[in-house]
Amino acid sequence: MTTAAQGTHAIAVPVDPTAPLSLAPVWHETIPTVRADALAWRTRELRRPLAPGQVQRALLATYLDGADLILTTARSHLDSPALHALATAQPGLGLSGDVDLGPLPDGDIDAAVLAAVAVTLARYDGLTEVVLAVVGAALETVAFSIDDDRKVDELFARSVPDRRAAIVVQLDTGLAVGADYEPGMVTGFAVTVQVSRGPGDRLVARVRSSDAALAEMFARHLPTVFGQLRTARSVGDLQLLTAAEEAAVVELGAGRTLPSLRWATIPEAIAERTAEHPEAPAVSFESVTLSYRELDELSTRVCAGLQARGVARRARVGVCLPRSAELIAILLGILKAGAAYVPMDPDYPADRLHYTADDAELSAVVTTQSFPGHTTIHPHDLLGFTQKTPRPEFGAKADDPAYLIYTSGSTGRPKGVVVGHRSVLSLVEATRGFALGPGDTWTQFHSVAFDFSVWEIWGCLMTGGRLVVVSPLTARSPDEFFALLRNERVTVLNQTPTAFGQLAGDPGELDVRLVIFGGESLDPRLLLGWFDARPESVCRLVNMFGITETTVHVTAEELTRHSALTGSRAVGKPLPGWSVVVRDPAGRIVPIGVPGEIWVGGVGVSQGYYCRDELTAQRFVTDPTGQRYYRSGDLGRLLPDGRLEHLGRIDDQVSIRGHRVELGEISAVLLQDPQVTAAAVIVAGGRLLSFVVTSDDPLAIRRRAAGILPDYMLPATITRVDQLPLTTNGKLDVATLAALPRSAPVPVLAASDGPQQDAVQVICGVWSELLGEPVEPTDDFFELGGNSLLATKLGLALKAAGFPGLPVRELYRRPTPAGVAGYYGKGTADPC
Amino acid sequence: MRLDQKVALVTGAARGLGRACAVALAAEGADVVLADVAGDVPGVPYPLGTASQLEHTARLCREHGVSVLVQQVDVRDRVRVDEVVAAAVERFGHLDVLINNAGIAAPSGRPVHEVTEADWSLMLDINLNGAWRMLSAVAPVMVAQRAGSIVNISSTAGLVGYRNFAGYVTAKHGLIGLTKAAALDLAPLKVRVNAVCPGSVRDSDWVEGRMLAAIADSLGIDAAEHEQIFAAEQPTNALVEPEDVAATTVWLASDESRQVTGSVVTVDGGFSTR
Ligand SMILES: NC(=O)c1ccc[n+]([C@@H]2O[C@H](COP(=O)([O-])OP(=O)(O)OC[C@H]3O[C@@H](n4cnc5c(N)ncnc54)[C@H](O)[C@@H]3O)[C@@H](O)[C@H]2O)c1
Repeated sequence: MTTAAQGTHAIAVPVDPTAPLSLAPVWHETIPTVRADALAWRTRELRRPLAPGQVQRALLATYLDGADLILTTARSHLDSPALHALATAQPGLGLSGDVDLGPLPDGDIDAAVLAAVAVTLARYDGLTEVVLAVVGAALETVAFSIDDDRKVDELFARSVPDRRAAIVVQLDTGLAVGADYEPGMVTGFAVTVQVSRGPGDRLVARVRSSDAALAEMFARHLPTVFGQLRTARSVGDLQLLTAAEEAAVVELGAGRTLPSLRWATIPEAIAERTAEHPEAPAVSFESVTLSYRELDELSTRVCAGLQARGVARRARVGVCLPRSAELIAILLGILKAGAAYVPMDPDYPADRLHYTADDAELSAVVTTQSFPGHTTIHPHDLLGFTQKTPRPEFGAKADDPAYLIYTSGSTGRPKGVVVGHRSVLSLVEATRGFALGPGDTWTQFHSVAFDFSVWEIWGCLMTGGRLVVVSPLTARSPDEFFALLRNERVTVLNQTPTAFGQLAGDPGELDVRLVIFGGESLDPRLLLGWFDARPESVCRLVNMFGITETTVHVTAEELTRHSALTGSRAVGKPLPGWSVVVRDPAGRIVPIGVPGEIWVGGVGVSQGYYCRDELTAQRFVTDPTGQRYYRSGDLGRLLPDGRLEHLGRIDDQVSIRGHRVELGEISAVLLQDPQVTAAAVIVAGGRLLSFVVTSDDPLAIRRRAAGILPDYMLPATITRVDQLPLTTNGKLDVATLAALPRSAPVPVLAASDGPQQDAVQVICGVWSELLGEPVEPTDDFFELGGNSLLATKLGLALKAAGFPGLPVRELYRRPTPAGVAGYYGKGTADPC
Repeated sequence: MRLDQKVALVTGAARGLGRACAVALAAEGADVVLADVAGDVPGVPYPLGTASQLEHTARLCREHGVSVLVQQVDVRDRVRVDEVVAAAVERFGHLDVLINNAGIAAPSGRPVHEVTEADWSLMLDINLNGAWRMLSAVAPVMVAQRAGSIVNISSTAGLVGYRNFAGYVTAKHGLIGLTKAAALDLAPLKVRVNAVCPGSVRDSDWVEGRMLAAIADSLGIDAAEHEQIFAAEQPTNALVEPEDVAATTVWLASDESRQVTGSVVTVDGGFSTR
């Protein structure tokens, strides 16, 4: 049985240089961080399934209650032995060499060291308060408030004896390492920083962590911060990165150079395809197929028709029409006229459509509906335009807007993102690695009002493929869509992960050779079945992170069985011409591996929001080097190999009862339940609400999730739904979920009525007597050191206390006093 | 490294112990030939390895910088078995290690007198005859080299009986017989033959093992608890990891075990000693 005597003691060597040098510890003291049941608990924590690419927690399991440093080592990098080593927590896997902190500072040396450690730590995790355990003359837990406006000399430590720290600083600043003694390292902390005196009256630090890369990084940044303490005015001025490291980070996040573009505008590129294969099919919809030649002729008529109605270069033309092959010709015609198209999905509410028409100051709307206050043009008047005009002037230039797509953020009114021809051309150029060409058949699955369709339509037509327009009804029916993929022999498929997950059929029957995921974050673990049917060598799967404001895509990650097995959240490196950099809220570039806001730069960064100068200035910023960025509001981190890891929307990071919680992680655990086919978690009113598609009792699902998730991550409600609502863009519809009637909240403890509550107390007493330690209603028998022998004894002891027999198997099913009480209370029914 | 310059052929390499062995052999520097049926076999009631899984094993091996040859083969198919061995020799020029790992656990679950003719034949044809077929195709190459190590992956079911698993138990006992007989025949020719008997191996994500989950399923135990229950049956109170079996295999494949032949090595946390 694990006892408090193991693994919970700090062992330090003499701190008094005059004391006799001895390897035997001179004091033992319990540091209040490690739980008595640490081993079992850690083992369970480490085995807990993580959301895709979930990195945190693996190393810091011990510090759940108030961890201040979240280590970021990818769990996927840990093999079984490493996991085992972590579970048994023998830190010391990673140890930096001695790093020079510089000459001894004036004044309080220890205070300066602590301040530097605190600021470094704060920058790794965006903390405003940092707790450190200090082993110096005494053992103490201290807190620093870190705030950019504070003066450096106002950084001070206050004692917080009841707080828990993740990092320990061992202050031996009066001692010389090597000469006097070898430093002992304190066990049980994620990171140990040990500072002592080196040759020539300089300070020397050693950093140890079970993550070698972290130890190395900390050892690099600590001296940088320490060196600035004297000169920096405010905490905000302290730089973690040197200019050289910053440049290296920027370089790492930059995509390769994009070759120069061969055309200036989208119509030019398509004209070249038309010249090559005039009779090749360009667009089909149901029974209609247009060849490239026909598409060219039709769109030229449209162009002439628009020009005849006074539509000029750089004008904005709304298009509010149902999907068809001709719709594509109309979009191309608008581009040929040098105007920008503004897609308006007729399925959108009328209010939204009128808002768009007004906001975009449309010159005309091509539609069969009426738009009071706007010039409308019936599509037939354009497609059938016969007036013998000379070949229209092809007005567009590379920097003219090609389209305005309206996005609705979490706040405010929808805004029109203005994207130019050059960005779209760059996108197609940047994806040459996909070898897209005339042999390919694509679908236009997405509404023209969703920018994923920009890629589908122009990506296909600019590379000479055939575009199969999918009707909204087919797009909504997984069976019909699958049949379409099979019958039309589609080779290139673009999907949101949610829509892809619903695709019904045997992938072995398809001709798809490339699937591109976009629009939402992807849980690659759901792809194993697809891989089994269509191995990567037959069909490439690529996950692309992107945003309307940066022209559909930003990065591309080739998905393999490895990604699926590890649940990797990497979204890959930026496309050639695009770049990413991760920054903290103050706009400082953060070190590699540290999470922050993803800023996107490069050729895809759009022109801004139409007529929203203020918002544009907020979100589209130019840094001192002159590089223009879009601040995505997405959370991510750069991996050492230059790939980006996407960690969700910054808004999705919620704080529940003081714990930082990620919604994706919770839904991933719910999804792991074999009875759950789809799951979503949202936050409303500070509570976690979950929605599952299942035929099982939500309480049973919650009970199983409770075996995996810590209390604070357990959703307050689990509501059964028939399917998860999707927006017209195929993404999860959070607003609809939030408005659904929900199941009653479930208290954190197993719901117990009066008598049962009493039973729980009695059972706790019996256990506590048997195990020799205090027992709470939710304590796990086996984690408290119970084994099958003790389980049998427990059964006997409970019988002696007047309860019915407890089969050992039932104890395995519900290993807590509350669970056992539930078993007794409801016969064989489950607790909860 | 311990297996530099060696070429190892692993059957059933798509996933499970086969993947663990292949990766461990590659990590010690061996070039590997990865063989698997990579598709379902009629009569086997659960999905077998897939082409994607086999490709993934290959990728994991290549990460160790070794050469990999992937072969789709059903060990019941004499013609393909010979072709695979020929392909391996053609590609690498020699073949030093054979890990006979391909195997099935079901059709099982019936008392011996209720087993059908077809189920019995299928079980023996894959688990026992398949290993013999591979051995008989590989041994001539090794004999000509006057060097080689063959490892048959048996099971604790090769040492003791299990109820309702007569076919499996028979085949795995048979593998031990094959090991001993072949060891004697081949010892003078410098080819060694040994058996490894794994106990309950933990289902490990990276090898995509699922045998324990499948057994737990057939016993009606909650999948989330099965590990604890199985572990409780082990004297060591812990399940065997795929890496434990792989490490034993690496040792038997290497020259460190050059005086070991005809041996049966159990890797079962002490299970079969009681
Ligand atoms: N997992 C355990 O607990 C355990 C214990 C003892 C022994 N074993 C033995 O170890 C070996 C591997 O077991 P595992 O757990 O990794 O199983 P597994 O099912 O995960 O892997 C077996 C592999 O063998 C392949 N295979 C099956 N029939 C084949 C055939 N006819 N031809 C070619 N390939 C074929 C499958 O496709 C699969 O990839 C088996 O011989 C098994 O009996 C396993």
